[in-house]
Amino acid sequence: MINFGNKKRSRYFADLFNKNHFRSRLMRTRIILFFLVGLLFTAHSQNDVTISGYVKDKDTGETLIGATLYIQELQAGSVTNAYGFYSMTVPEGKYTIQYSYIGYQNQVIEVDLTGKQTINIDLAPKSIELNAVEIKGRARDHNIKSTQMGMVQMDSKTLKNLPVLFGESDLMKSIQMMPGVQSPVEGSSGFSVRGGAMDQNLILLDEATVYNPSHLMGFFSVFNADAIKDVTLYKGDIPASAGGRLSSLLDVRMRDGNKKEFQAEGGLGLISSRLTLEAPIKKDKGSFIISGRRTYADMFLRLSSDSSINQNKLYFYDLNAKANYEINSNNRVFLSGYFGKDAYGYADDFGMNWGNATLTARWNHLFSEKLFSNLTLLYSKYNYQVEINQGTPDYDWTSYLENLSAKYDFTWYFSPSTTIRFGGQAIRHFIQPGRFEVSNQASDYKVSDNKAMEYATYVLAERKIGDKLKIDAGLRFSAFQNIGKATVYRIDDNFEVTDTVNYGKNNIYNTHTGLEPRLSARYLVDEKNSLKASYSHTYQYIQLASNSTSGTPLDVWFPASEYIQPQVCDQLSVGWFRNFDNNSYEASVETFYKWMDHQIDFEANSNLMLNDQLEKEVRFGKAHSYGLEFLLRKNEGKLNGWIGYTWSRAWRNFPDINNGKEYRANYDIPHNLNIVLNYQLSKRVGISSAWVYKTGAPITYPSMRFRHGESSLPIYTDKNNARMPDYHRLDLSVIIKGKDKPERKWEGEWHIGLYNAYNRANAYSVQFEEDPDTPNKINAYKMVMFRIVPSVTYNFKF
Amino acid sequence: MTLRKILSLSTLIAIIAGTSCERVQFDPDIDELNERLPVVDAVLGNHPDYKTITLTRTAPYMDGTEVEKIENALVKVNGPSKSYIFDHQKDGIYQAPENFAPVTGGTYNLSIELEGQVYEATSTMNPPVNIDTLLVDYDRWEDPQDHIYEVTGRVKDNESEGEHFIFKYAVNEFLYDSTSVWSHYTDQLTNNTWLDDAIIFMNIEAQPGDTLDVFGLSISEVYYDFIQAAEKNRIGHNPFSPPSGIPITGNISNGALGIFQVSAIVQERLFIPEEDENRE
Repeated sequence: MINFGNKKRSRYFADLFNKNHFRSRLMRTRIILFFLVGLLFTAHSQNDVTISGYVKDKDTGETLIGATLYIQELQAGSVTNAYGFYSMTVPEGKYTIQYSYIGYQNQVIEVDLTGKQTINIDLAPKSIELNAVEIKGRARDHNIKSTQMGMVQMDSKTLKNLPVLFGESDLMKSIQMMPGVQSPVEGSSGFSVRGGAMDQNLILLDEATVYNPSHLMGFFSVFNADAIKDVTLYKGDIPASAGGRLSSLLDVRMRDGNKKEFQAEGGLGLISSRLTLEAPIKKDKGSFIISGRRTYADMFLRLSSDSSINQNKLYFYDLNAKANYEINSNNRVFLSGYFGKDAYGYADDFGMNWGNATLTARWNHLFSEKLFSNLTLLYSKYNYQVEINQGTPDYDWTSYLENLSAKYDFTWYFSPSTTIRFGGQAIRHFIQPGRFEVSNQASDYKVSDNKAMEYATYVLAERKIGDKLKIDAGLRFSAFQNIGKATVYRIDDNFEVTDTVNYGKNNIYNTHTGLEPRLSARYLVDEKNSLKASYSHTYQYIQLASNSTSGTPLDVWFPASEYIQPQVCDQLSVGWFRNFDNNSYEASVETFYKWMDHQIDFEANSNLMLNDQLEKEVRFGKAHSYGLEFLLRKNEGKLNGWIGYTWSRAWRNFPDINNGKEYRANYDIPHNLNIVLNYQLSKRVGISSAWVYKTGAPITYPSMRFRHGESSLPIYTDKNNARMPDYHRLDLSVIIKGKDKPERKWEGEWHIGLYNAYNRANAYSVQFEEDPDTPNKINAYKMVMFRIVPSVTYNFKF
Repeated sequence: MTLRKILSLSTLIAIIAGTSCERVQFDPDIDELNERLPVVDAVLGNHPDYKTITLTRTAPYMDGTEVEKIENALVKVNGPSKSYIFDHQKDGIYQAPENFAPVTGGTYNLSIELEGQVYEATSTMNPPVNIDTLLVDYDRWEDPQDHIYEVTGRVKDNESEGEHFIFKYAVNEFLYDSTSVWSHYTDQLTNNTWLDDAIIFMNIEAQPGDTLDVFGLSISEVYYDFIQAAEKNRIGHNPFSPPSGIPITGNISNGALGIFQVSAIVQERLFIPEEDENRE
């Protein structure tokens, strides 16, 4: 039963009408529907035939995401989807088709199409001599031809080449080198996209949500580069097939495993080692991959004779596994999972651990050569546990959230110029925000569980109109329902609890819905120039209870409710894309403006952990951000890399925070410049460098002080009224490959890195302390986390 | 290169990296304000040491100027049945009259008249914390030769929910009266439960034979939040976070800062054991 409640309903409609939102929402929805319907009415000839198939790596059988086929005679092409599948409908005839993928040799075939035809293509990777340091990825002119904008793509080779902290390749740090992506704290895996909050990024690993992407307090990400095939970050133009977060979608796809032969690779690093094994289950039909990592600093700590050191533990490990099997040409199944854990503690006195687990089961089915489907079952979990055994009684503090989801996606290659995607998803959320157990005592404290269902259905049409114009129009309908058993607190204007309402088990006591139109368009000025524009409207129904800048492992997620409205965002972006020198250089300029409503912040001194009345701490407001992003990228040649610059601002306005005055968001970093350069000195030696500069992150500095007892306490005026010192850093790395001997299967390479090569004292945080010698004097200190950090890693493959 | 060499190199590099974490003093170029707002430090209680109110003014944050004392205010506390005038002694300290003896459950109203302005606050004296036993021993994290001590105890709040307490200590009757060394405790998770071996203080510098006085004060939620905010500003949300910028909000009206708190106070005296006794 849906119980809106009178107050809720009246507030809902007041919100819709009084702000004139309803009319504009209706108008936007009508426009999108108009496009969708218009795109469907497309006639095509009875003599059309369809070619379809998969594009794979010739050596490993791995499917290639975003590979292109191009038919010279028609000057038309198509792109493989996330499973390497393509389909294209063309008039009967003889054609020359070129298949290409950056980092691979092109393959050209000639076909005489008189009926539907399946053509599977194996592309051979370029040799080192041919490839130099070429970055693998989409088609060379994909950035010009696609409608997609606000997108960052990275493959595993790019990730592994970048110089990184401690020599551990890190996806999250690497994407922070791209325009529009900010990290307010050094070394953090958390990131902000175009002025959005960290919890407004949907992070998917093989479509399963990863709730905390960090290991070791954020210094490492949960993504093992050896297990990753492809990474795509959507900064604004999120496809209608995805939703649930306002700012971005980080779509990480795991490798399928080698379908041809057994292969092992790994690395011995400064603080961690990793090993990946992959092999065919049945040659060319199926394969598996298992990839694991573990840090071992704790093992060295045990060697210390100092008991305060040797009883410490601090480590993480993670495991990725995936298997796939081609049942027949129309059916493929995939099973993949991730399990990771961090542990921190001292002897038996204190222990803390946290980690993610995901499981993905997928079934690709071809209903016809024109209708591709993917059924996915997903499970995600994040949990943490804190144990304190120092005294009597012992304490045990646990929290977890998990979701179970089913998703069915269809791609209908409707006509030569129109592709339609549609599908739906249902997610069951379960959140246990915290349980505090005291051993041998009847005083356990448990924060109420949160149960909810989230549903979405979408349709997305991609339509070429003439040679120049391409439009993607999508509409997503999402719904969110809170489900009992639950205790709901009614809050008054002073944020005090006025009433407590209990709902029975499985009682649907609150429903939110949202229509999310998405529209993007590309106008091809010429083969090297395109203009793009996009608009998206997104909803977010769960969020993170955190008032720290970088997040902690103990942060918990909480859902929209009767009291907490879903977060909403409108984003408009426009961009110009230009390639030079036969697509060797890509350049782009994008500008965006985001309006975010029902934003959440917290009362200044709020206690967000183990808080059963979190609603009292929540404050609501608006946010907006805007910016310009420049990117110049060279993908091939001995010298390659990119220069990315972002100018952006991010503001928040909450009636109950900062005396109602607008203030800078924590991730308001106006200037951000990244220069990444790779140079291949010889067949065996390559060097990479990355330089980053960014304005210091906002911080709240005190303006005055007062005495209380012997303490000198700060007085603050405006929130985020100052900035940390500006940040810049140069990282260098050298990759030395072993001598190439045809008879030897073992391939080895050394990665020697230097993080913060010129030893800059960047501020990780700022602290104030009373001067020990001069009464009343306060000194400011910046905490420098990483000066120059050398690293060495030996990677091998056989 | 052998595995042994790789590990040796890795260890060396790890040591270099590990020592790179440091604190560097710098000038944050703070936009300091020079307003002189009144500040009230009024923690009173049913204990002889808690009979004074100190009035000062705010000062610019970093410049090291001495805070100005307020010596010309009229300070009055109205109890459930009586009013008490606090007379100025020196340096902004106002002394309660001899007959000021607050009682549990009593509500007290503070009134300060200063330069034509009136600043007010209210506090109710909550029941005291229950202390069964307190023990002093070497700090478990420190070398015994350094004479650093900890205090553990068996303590309990009362039946009513929403109680808050702070603990302070004095060595040889010198009170360490800074929020950074106080302990604070709420019954949110363990209401009306005896906490055995609860760690009350750590890192106490003392010598064998010293006296160690422990004071337990019942406090209001407002004062508890005040202390928490002070602590969060000192250490941040975690050791790697900057000060949180949380306003330290007291309960004084009319734009003054500080706190008015009337507490039920219990005191326990311990002695730092001689070394031989302590090792048992």
